[in-house]
Amino acid sequence: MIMMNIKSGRLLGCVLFGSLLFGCTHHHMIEASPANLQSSYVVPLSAGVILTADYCSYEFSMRRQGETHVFHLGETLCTNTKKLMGELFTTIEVLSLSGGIKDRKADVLVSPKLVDASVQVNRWRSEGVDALIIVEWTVTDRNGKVLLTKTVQGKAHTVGGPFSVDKTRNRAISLAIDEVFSESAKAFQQSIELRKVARAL
Amino acid sequence: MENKSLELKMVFEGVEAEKLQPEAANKAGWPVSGNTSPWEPGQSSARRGHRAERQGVLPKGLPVLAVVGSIGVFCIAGCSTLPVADVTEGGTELHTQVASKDGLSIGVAPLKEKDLLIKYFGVDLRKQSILPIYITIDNQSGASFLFLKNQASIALKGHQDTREHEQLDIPIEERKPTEGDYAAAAFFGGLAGALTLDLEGDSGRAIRHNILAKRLNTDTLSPSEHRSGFLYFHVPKEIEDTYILTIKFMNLETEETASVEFQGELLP
Repeated sequence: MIMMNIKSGRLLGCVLFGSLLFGCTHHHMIEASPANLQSSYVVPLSAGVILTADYCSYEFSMRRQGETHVFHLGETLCTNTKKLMGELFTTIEVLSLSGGIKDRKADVLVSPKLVDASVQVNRWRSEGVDALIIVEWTVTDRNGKVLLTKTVQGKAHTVGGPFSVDKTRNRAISLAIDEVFSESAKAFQQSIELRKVARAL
Repeated sequence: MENKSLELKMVFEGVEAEKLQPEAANKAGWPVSGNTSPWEPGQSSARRGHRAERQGVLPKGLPVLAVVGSIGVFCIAGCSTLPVADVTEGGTELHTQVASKDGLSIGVAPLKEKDLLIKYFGVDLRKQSILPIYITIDNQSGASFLFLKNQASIALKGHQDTREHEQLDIPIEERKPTEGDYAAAAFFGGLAGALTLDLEGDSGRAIRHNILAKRLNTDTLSPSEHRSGFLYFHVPKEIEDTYILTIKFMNLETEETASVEFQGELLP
């Protein structure tokens, strides 16, 4: 019995030591609200939205105190992009690069790209968490001529206690994504370049 | 484990005892024989500690103090934040050169001064071979332009030749420089796109976050629009040559690309 206890104690020790040494990986699904549109203006164009695998399966990872945190942002970005484009353009068609985009009838092609993401956690202090998500939108015509490129930053700052860091951080990322889409909506709706294209068609 | 924590306590005790004068030590309840401290110069702290243990005079309250101190040190070291300023335009501290082309007014201000780098980035980026250049663009024309971030370049005019230097490319995933980066840096004399800045850990992450948040990105400038932000270049800190900065734009209607050049000295 004592031998068993010693053995299991050693095993437990090894497991604990291993987890301290190599850390654990935590996966976080980030949710965001649909973009808050400040205007009801719809760009009078049909759009083909090119969603790449890089964008739709994007994961941001950070190591902190021996643990790895993986944030699955791609799915949320992709869902929100489809939703936003549906509200901004008269009609949309979701395209993938592998499916071929040449024969499509859309007036313009819109491709989003996640440029960078950053999360800064200030543990034990009241400064909280800062999240930053940068997305670049490129709009081209069917011939590939660039009509508009907009880089949009979503920034968020949240404050939480030292023992709710995960919750505070995920909320910051979620709010940063919200801002990306609200700012993107504003950029598309106010774009004089897109209005010019619509007038010319 | 118990021995280890005891040893740590003793090391802590040894260091504190050195600072105390015999009289003060006596008042504080430290072991003092006559006017002579039991701690002799040249003795290691651990050995002094063993003697103290033998004498059975470990001061009370020190373990608690040690634990509280350790937590304090952990908090300070593990939770670094960078209280950095945003650039306020129109300020006099940035020495901006201004040029105009095709109705675009462009201002550039390389940040070379240590105090300004610390003010805006919380760290002396020049020590990391990074040269941040603050750019302002005003579109005073009736056309739309695309600012091409990736086509901005810097060349350094030395005594013998002119060399192009790359923009700092911050990878999406946080990582430390790999052996390949160091090899590339050694091969290209540190001028290649190798990341020299350790962007892991709390302070590294804060620097990276700040660099990204202040960066000027590829963007369309509609008529009467304004943009500002930093571009970052790999420029070894010891270089004090003349720089030639080239900024490029594309007229979205005509698809013609125009460039504007700025020349200045890298000496602070």
